[in-house]
Amino acid sequence: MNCPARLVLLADDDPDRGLLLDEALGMAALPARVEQVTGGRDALRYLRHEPPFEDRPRPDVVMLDLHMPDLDGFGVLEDLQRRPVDNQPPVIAVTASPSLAERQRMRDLGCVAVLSKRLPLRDFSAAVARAAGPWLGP
Amino acid sequence: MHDDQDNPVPDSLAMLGADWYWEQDDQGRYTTIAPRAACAPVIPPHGFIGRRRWELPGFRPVNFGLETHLQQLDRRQAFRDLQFCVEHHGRVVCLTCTGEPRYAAGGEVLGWRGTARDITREWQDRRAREDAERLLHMAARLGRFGAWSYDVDTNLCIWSEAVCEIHDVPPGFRCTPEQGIAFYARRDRPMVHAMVERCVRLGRPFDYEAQVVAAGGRRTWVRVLGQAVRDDAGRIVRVEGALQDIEALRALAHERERIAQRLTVTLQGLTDGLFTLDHDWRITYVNPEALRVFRLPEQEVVGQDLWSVFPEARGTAFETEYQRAITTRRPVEFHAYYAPLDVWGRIRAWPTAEGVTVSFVDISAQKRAELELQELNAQLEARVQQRTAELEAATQELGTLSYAIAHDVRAPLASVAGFSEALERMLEGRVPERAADYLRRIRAAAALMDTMTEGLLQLARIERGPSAQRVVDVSELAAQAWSVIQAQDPARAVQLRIQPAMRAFANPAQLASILQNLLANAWKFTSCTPTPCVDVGMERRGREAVFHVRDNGSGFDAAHAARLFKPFQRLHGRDVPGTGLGLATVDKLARVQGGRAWAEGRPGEGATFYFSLSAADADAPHATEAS
Repeated sequence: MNCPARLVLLADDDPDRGLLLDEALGMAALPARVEQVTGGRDALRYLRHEPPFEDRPRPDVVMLDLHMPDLDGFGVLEDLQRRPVDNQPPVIAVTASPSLAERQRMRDLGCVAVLSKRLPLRDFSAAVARAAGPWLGP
Repeated sequence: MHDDQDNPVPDSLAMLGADWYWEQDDQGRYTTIAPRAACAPVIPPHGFIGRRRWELPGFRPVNFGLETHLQQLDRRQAFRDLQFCVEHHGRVVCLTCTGEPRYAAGGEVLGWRGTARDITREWQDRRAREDAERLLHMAARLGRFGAWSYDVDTNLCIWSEAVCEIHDVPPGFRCTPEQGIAFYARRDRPMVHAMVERCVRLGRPFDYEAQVVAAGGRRTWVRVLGQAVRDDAGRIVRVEGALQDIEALRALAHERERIAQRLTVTLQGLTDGLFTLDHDWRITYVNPEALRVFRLPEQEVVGQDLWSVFPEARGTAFETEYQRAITTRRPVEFHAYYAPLDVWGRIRAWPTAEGVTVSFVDISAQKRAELELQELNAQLEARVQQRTAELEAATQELGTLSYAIAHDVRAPLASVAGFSEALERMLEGRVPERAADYLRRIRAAAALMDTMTEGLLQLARIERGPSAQRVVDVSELAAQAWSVIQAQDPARAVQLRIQPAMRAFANPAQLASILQNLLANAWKFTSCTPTPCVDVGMERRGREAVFHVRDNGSGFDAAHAARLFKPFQRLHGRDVPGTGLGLATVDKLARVQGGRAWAEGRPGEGATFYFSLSAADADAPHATEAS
């Protein structure tokens, strides 16, 4: 199987989001595959190559859902600020309906973009292409 | 002189019992003082010799006038019992002298001779008696009392001056006992008669009050006393007695009795309880109302020690307050509860000369009502606290629910929308038109549901209480909102009129949301109107600014006007787009800013939506009328 060169790590407790992100990347013709973890703690372990993610490749982009049961997106971002990861990939936040204050806080915590989950798939795809395109291009 | 010696002392003068003999010359100067052997005069003879009578030290006539006496002497008249006082060594001595002229053989006057006697003792006694009589007379007049006497042998009554005055008869009046008794009022006569008769016959004394009808017809109450006087043989010879006019005393006593009676009637009828205490805490009086409250008979209260009747009151407010009234000599008032009687009283205590007078009102009913009210209030307070806690819990739950809607309900919705869109793209042109239509419907339903959840979230997020209010240009906000709405369908032409320079005191974001919802509504419901027209205006009502958004669209049934503002209450079918939350949001936004929202309309005749806010210049109501 011919694996795409780029990798997106998605942290979201809803498994549907992985498939939909895959569709969106496809629609935007971005040659990236999606690796999904279902919580904030797993996202941090993945990025730090901690068990059970020791052998996983480094993602090119991280897409972080802000609302997760164990550790939410803010928790992940704050942890990354306290203990930065070597060669940390850019983080794009994904949320249902962020307030202006939330958007500002996410940017302050180092997010490169904030995307809304509520966009129709076509629009979401376009937004992903705009935000993540620079790191996922061929 | 020598002639004088020829005249012997006359026997007649010696018989007067004089203490001494005297002679004077024709000028009235004493020449001879001859005391009797047994009785020396108080003043030695040399005190007299060479002096006239009125030249003696401290001379003062007692029973004659000096002028008259001098005339007597000029006329050579004899005089008797001439009483005068002289002083000797600081002592006042009273003398009496009797004298006559003495003549020479040729008939020429040689002078005077006579006898004298020291009557100092008698004079003093007489003076004392006179003083006593005068005082007695004065007392009798002042006290309106006098003496009377009945002589059994003569059968005559003698009255003193005061008794005569009381009977309106002249002084010295005398009468028989029958005549005297006739002065009494008819009803008293038999009794007075019987008493006098008994006294005369049996020697029994009497003391009686009766009415006298005086000679002039005036009626006077008198007190008459009598007692028998016996002679040496024990026979009753006289009845002596006193009589006093007691009219004034009786009037006084009567008045006192009347006042006492009135006081008693007043105290008996008093609706306040009342009792009096003496200085030893003994109860001296208690009125019927007090007895009713005490639930005790009078004999168990009056004369008893307060603390033995009410032992539980000792050492409580009752004792300290009564004591305070006594000590400070000021009345006190207090409320107190007496447990053994289960009575609340409002009590007043006055210090008096005798002790303390205490009055009280039984306020048990009032006090119980007060306590009940307090208890009710406490219960109410507890209930309010409980309800508040419940409400807070409910609000928190609602917050949690809103979160759930936002993040847990919307996530699967987004999946439905996303997958159906992906599916639609995958199958584009490869499935029957009906399947494609179903897919579109799935997507549309998901999109609508997502919009509805968004509306619900917004509704839940509206903060309670006004936040960050300021003066807002409402006309400008309405124009901005309209341009956003119009941009969604630029092809449609709807005429819009906005009243210029409308201002309000409000939160700008919330006001924008209100206008956006109402204008979107007007836009939506004029879609089938041939010449759609929307009007935005304002009217001042007191301190309020009432805004309206009026359209000439499809309107609504006025009966459902109130339902319009409730969530998900749609008056129109599914063919009209909308979440059913717009007006609920408007209503809530108006309320949190201190205003309200309402609507008027008729089917087919358009609708007018109103909302009220504080006027921009609520403190200066007429400032904007000119503009």
